[in-house]
Amino acid sequence: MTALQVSNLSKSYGEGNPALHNLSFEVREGELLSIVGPSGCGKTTLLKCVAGLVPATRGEVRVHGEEVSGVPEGLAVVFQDYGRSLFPWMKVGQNVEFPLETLRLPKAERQERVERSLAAVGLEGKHERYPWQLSGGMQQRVAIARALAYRPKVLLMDEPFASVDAQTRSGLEDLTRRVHLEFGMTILFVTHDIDESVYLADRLVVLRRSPGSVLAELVIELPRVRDQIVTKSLPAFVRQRSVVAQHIKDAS
Amino acid sequence: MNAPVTTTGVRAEPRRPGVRRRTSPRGALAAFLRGTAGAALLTLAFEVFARLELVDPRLLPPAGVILGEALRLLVDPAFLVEVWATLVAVLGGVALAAAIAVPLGVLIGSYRLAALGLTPIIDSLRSVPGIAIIPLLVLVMGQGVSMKVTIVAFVAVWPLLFNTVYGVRGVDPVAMETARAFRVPVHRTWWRVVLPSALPLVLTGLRLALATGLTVGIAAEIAVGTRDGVGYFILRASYAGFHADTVFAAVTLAGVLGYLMNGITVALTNRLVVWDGKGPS
Repeated sequence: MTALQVSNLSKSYGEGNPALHNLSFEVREGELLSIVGPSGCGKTTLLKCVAGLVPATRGEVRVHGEEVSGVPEGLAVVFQDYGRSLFPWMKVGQNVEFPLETLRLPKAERQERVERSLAAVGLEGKHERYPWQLSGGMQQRVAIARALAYRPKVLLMDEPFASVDAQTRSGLEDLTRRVHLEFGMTILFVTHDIDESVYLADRLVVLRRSPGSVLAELVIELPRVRDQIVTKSLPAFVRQRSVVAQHIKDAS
Repeated sequence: MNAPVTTTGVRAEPRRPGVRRRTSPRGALAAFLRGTAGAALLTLAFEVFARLELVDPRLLPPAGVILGEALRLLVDPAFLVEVWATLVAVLGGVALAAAIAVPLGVLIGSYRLAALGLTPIIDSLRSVPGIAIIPLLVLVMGQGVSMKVTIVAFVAVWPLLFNTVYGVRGVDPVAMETARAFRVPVHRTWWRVVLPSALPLVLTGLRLALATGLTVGIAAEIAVGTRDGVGYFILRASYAGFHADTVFAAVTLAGVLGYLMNGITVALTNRLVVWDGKGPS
């Protein structure tokens, strides 16, 4: 079943300044789709159109069959800039709980979800800390926990690990795979990092730039459960990574 | 509109961690000692100058005499009643100003249309020097507390309003987008995202409003002969002849009052705004 359908999507900011041109792809239910492309290919714009944060100029986005106009229900976003996306005046627990208040969940259920999602990202017992008391990687885990607690059907991640160090990044990638398998939601993962896009994805879309449009689509043939060292030395990984790299190189 | 008083809410600038650094206990002690030393030196200079009697000592009493009189006033119920009257008027006026300025500031800061529509009115109103409307207010409201509250509110509303507007405009767009992405309704976003984010600047506005409010409140008491307040007390002491020590002491204590209000607001800010300088917005 299709969770997310993007059809002939175009977006321009003003006359003659197209960011996206005639983009079409779909994401199946429970799938993790990576979108990879050079910077300036409109990845963030694409994600904002899907999230209903900015309106499309032409074409449409459907989430579970419903056309997106405004932010659809059951969708969560993890932004690249966790430092600005987490609210510094709320403690970690309050940050995670905040979106749940809008869902009108009873207090007990909210608490339970906060507990569970903080545990899922390995931040048990950090409720009372403020985000700025945590490291960058931990802050991004709080942002992921906040999205998980919301129990979205579709999770959008906008270069979420672009501003953490390499070590932390591997850990967060594995965390993403793990929660994807555990919670089973559909994930659209935007990145400019080729290794990351292949390592995480079930399927992958390569974008070209100016204006952003689909260059290639490929199914990633890797085991469901992955490991930074083992998976990345598999011949299949090495081959598909080269395919993606070649596509991006050809396009630029 | 005029420039924001602090730059905490300006997002275009790179983060400067620890904009308001917390001083260590030792640093605080050192600062206190330095301040005390400065004040002591000034008092001593005043004392020496007055003792030289270049000016009639009945007009310029020495610092020691003034301090003694100030201490006497501090426990004099007749004076404390006047302090209370001024305090009620100033706090009432500033509270009224905040009740108007903060919601209005959120509105103007959030909606371009509100800003466009209200700016001409605000610019012309705020060009009126507050003290100039005192006679008019006396005519309409008499010389009682409601006149004082009104004039204090009139001058206190501007720093609160402009700082709220700048605070609201300084809210991080990523924070707003996050709230929108989770479908948080507008009113809840105002309470939980916009206001906390603007709070440091709103509190700066409050600090300025209290200072201006106290000045203008006392000025009103002196100018139009209200029947109570520190200003009234000073005026009466001046008319009574050769009570310069009482006048100086009352003025000093009015200064102390302003200092305390400022200090309390700063302490409140440090308590409420634990995140300032630690994260964006």
